[in-house]
Amino acid sequence: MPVLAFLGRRLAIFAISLVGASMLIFAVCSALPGEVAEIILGEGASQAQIEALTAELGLDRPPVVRYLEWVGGMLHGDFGVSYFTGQSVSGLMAPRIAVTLWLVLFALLLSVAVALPVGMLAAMKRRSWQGFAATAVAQLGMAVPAFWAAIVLVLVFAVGLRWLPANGYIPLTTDPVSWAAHLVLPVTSLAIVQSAVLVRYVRSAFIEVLSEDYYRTARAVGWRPFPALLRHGLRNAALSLVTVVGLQLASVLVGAIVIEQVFALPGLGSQLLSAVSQRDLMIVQGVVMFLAASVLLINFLVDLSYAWIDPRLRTEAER
Amino acid sequence: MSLLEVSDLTVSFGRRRRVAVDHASFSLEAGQRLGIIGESGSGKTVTALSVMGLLPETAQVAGSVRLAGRELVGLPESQHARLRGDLVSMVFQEPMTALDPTMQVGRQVAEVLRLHAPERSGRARQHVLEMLGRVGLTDAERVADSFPHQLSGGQRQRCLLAMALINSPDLVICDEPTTALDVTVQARVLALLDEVLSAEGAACLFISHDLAVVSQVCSDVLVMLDGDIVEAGPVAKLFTAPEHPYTRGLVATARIDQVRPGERLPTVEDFYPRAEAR
Amino acid sequence: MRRLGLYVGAALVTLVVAMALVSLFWTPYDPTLVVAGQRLQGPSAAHWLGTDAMGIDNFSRILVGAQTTIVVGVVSVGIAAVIGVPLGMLAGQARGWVDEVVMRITDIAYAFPALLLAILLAARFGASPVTAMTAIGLATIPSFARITRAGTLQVMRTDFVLAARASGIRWPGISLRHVLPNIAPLIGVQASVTFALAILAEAALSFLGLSTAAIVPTWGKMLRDAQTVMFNAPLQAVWPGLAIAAAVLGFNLLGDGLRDLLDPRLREVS
Repeated sequence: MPVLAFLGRRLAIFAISLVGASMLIFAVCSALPGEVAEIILGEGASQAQIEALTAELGLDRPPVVRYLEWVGGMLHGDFGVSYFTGQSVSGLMAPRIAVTLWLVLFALLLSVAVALPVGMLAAMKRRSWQGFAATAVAQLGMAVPAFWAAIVLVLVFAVGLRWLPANGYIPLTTDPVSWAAHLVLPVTSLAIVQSAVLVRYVRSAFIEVLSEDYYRTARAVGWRPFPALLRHGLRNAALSLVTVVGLQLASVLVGAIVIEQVFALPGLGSQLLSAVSQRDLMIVQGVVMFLAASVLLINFLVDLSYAWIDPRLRTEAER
Repeated sequence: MSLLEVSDLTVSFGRRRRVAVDHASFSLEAGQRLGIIGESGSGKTVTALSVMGLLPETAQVAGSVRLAGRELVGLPESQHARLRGDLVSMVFQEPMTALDPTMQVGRQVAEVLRLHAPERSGRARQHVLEMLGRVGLTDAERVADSFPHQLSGGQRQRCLLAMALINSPDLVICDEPTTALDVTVQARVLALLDEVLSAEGAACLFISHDLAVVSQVCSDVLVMLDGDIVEAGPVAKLFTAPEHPYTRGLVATARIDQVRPGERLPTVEDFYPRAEAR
Repeated sequence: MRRLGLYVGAALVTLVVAMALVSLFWTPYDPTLVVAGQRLQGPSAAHWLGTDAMGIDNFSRILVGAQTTIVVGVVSVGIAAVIGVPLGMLAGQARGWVDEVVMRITDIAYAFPALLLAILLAARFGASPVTAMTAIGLATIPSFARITRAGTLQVMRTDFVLAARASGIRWPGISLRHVLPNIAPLIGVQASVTFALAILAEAALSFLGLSTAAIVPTWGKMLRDAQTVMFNAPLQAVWPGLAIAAAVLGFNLLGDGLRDLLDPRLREVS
C-alpha cells in the first residue's frame, strides 16, 4: 500500500523535526550554563556567586545530560521549573493553553470561512471587476498588521460603539456569553490578515481547477459553474489548500502572541512575553517548545489528511 | 425541422475580436452523424462549444444555433445547463484527465443521472451499471467502484461515453474522442461509438482532424478552414470528388495506401499552398 | 490595468525609500525633541500629523521610522538570501541525501516563524534590532532555499545545462554561469515578498518592545506608544499603521507585479 509508506515517511519527518526543534531551543536557551545564573543574579554579581548558583541549579552538569533530562521530562508532561519562582512550567502553562487554543482555532476557522467563498468568487470572476475587487481587498488585508487591526477594531467597536469589551478574558465555564464577547475582537483582528493571505491561495487553487478537464466535463454534463466548482473543485483544490492552512497555522500562532498582548488575554503568548521580559529562560524554553511542537503536530496531521482526501494515495493503481 | 440548425454562426474572441468561426451554417437531422474536419485553429471545436454553451467568457457569439427548435445563442446559463448532459452531451479528447480524480467513476456517472432525472435516481446504481455494460465495460461493478487512476485510458473514455449517454441525449458531440488513445484501443472505441449511437438513435457531431476516423463513424462531413466551412457533403462524395483544393489535400494525405512505394508522401500544402506560413 | 499593481507597488516602495533618504538630511522637527507644552495635538499646519504623547512631531517620527524599516528589511533579506540561495542551489544540484537533509532542515524551520524565533533570541540575548534582524533573516532562509531549489531543478533540466555538463563543466561553474542568472528573477520576487514580511515582523517586535532601543523612532514603536493613549487620542494609532500598511503593500505588489512580468516561465515554480 503506498499509503503506509507515505505515513511512515511523514511520521519519521515529524519525529526528526521534533528532535531538531527541541535541540535548537535548548541550544539557544540553556546550552551555556553560566549565563543563566548571570541573568538571575543581575549585573554586578561576583564570579563565586554565579558559580554557586550554577551548581545549585544543576547547570554545571554537561549540556547533553541536561538536554536529555529536559526532553525526558517533557515526554511525561513535565516542562521543568522556573528559575525564578521554582513553579512548575507545565503548571503555569496549563490554564493558559485553552485561551490560546480558542483564539487560534476560531481565527483559523473564521479565516477559512471567509477566504473560501471570496477566493472562489475571485477565481470565477477573475476577468471582471468583482474578481479585481476581491484581489485588491486581499492585498490590502495582507498589508495590515494584525495588532493595528486590533487597535482599530477596539477603537470602533469597544470605544466608539461600545458593543464589545475592549480587553480581558472570561473563562467559558464562568460565563459562556461573556467568554464569546471577549473573543470576538481578538479573533476578528487575527483572522483579517489570515483570510487575506488565504484568499490568494484559494483563488489560484481554483483558477487551476477551472482550467482542468474534469471541470469542463462537470460543466458538460450540466453543472452550473459554481456548483461544478463546489462538487468537483473543492476536493481537488483542498489538496493544495490543506498544506497552506497547515503552514498558516504557524503564523496564526505567532499572531496570537501579539494579539493576546493587545487584548490582555491570559494565554501562552502573554506568558511567553512576560517570561522574556523577566528573562526566565526555563519558561521561555518550555512555551516555545510547546508552540513549535503544536505547529509540527498540526502539519503532520495535515499530511495525514492527504491520505484521506487523495484516493491516489489510498488505493493502488491496478494497471 | 432539423435537430440542430446552425446559421450564420460567428464567434470571435477578446478585445481584438479575433474571429474563430466566420458565418458558419449547417444543419443536422435527428440520428444523423456529421463529421467536422479541420486542423487545430480551424474553428471546429469552437463550433461545438457554442452548441454546448461552454465557450470562455471572452467569446462573442453572433448568429443562431437552434437545437430541437430552441435558440441557444443568448440562452441564459441556467437554462443552457439544464440541456447539457440531457438533450445534448459531449465527449472530450483527453480521457486521462477528464474525470474527477477524487471520486469513484460510478458516482460520477450516477451524478449525471441525478442532475437531470431525479425521478430515476432511486435505482441510479442499477442504471449506471447497465450503462457501463452497454459501453462495453465487462466488469461494471468493479469499474464503478474504481477511481479514475485505477482505470486505463480506454476504460476511462468508455466511462465518459457512459456519462454522455446515460440520459439518452438527442445529440452527442465528440471532440477527437480517440486521438489520445492507442491505435488498437482507438479502433475498438470507434466501433463501440458506432454501435451505441445506432442503439440509442442519437445524432452525432464528430470532430476530428483525421478524415479516416470521420469516415468510419459519419455519413456526412464538413470541412473547416480558418473559421470557414469550405466544403460539405456525404463522406463518399468527399473521397471521390473533392472540390476545394484543401479537401483534395486532406483526401490525398488520408489515402497514403495509394502512394506508390518510393514516392514522396503527399502533404496538404501540395494541393493548397497557404498564403502565409503560420 | 494588468500592470497597475506593479506600478502602485513600485511607487509605494520608492516613496518609503525616499522618506528614509530625506530623513537622513532633513526632518521638519527633531524626531527626538520632547516639547512638554504640545502633547497629543491633532494635525495642524505646524505639525501635519500632530504630535505624540511626549510632544514630538509625528511626521518627523514617521519619516525617520522609514529608515529602520528599510535597514531591517535589507539586512533580513540579505541574511536570508545569502544563506538560503546557495543552500537551495546545492540541494537542487546535488539531489540525493544532501537534498533530503536540506529540505528536512527547512521543514523544522517552518515551525519557527520569524516572530517566534525573534522572541526566543530576545529572551537569550536581550531585545535589540540586531536580534530582530537576525531572527527574521534566519527564519526566512527556508523560503529562499525552497524557491531556489525549485528554480534550480527546472534550470538543471534544460538542454543548455545538460550540454554544459556534457562538456565537462563542474557544478560550481554551472551554478554561477547558468543557474544563478536564470533564477535571479525568481529570487528578486522572493526578496520583495520577504521584505514585506520583514517589515511586518519588525513592526510586531517593536510593538512588543522587543526590537529597538526606546530612543529610535520606528513605526511599530509608535503604535506601541499610541496604544497607551488610544482612548484619548485615537488618531495617534492611524499614522504609523498607515505607514506600515503602505510599505508592506508596496513590497507585496512589487513582488507580485514582477512575478506576473516574468510569467509564464516562472509561475509553476512559485
